[in-house]
Amino acid sequence: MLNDLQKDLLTELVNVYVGQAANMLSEIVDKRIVLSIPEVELISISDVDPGDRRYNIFFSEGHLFRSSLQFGYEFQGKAFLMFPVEQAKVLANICLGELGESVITEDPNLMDTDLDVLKEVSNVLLNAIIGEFGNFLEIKLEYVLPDIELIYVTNSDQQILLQNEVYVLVLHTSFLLADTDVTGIIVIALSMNSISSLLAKMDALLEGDNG
Amino acid sequence: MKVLIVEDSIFVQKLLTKLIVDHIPECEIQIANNGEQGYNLFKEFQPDFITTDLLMPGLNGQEMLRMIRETDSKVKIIILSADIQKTTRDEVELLGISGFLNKPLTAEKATTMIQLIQAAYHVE
Repeated sequence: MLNDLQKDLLTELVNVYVGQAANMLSEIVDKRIVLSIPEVELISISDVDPGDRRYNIFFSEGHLFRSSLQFGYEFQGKAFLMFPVEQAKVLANICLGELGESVITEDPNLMDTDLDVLKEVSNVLLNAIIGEFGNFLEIKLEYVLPDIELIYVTNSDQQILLQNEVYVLVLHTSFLLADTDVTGIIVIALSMNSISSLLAKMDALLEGDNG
Repeated sequence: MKVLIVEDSIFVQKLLTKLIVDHIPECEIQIANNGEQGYNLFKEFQPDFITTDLLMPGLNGQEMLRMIRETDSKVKIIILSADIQKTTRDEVELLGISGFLNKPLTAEKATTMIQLIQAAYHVE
């Protein structure tokens, strides 16, 4: 669906945007962030094989903390940030530690204060990435308030990201907080119209480079 | 000196309160969780300085800012938002703000915010 040049440019854009988001997270937790190379795929939901690890946005079975940010209208989609629950707890503790608040490491459950922190961290990270898409396309994106939820994922779960769209662009990357085992995953799903806008802008950029 | 913090995240509310109290202990601080509360507190509390988020439940920060500017062109307002879009910044700058800081609140940005509050304090 994406030609090599488009895929290369899109991967590079996502790399830069996620890098900026990781830098923000690094500033919040005062730790180095190790990024993976983003994977970019344009896929049809009907073609998704749940057993294919490339599309396995839920990187492990079990309880996950998931934050999502929906955006529209001209450029429409949904961005997800996910952590295994126990790692989300570690991240929340690190952030609350910055406030000098007592950290209850024995309690693995996410408390309201943890969820508030994680929602804010997710908000900063996802805005950093999605906002740059808006800047790139020179349009203003409208956001819906981020949702947070705790979900239980099994190996057989389907990955339905946008209910009414045939194709989704999956921008998939992960990051690791140095000196911890906290690994998060970011997935961005775009509607078909948004993918077309993005590709048109990228093609114009690529043509400009070639000219 | 009266400062109004408009922010839906309790975490950020605490960060900002600690920052301001640590540097300007004589400050009187009030907190609102969204734009509607923020606007009501603006009328009751009559702050000298407002720091506000943009994306909040109910009335958002930009709408609150617009309502405040309909009656008050002087109160100093600084935006602290995760929204990094240039178009957003351009829109709110037209409403008259003293600064726009992107989250997260780093040490450098915290210093900028304190300097802006202190500058507003000394103007009085």
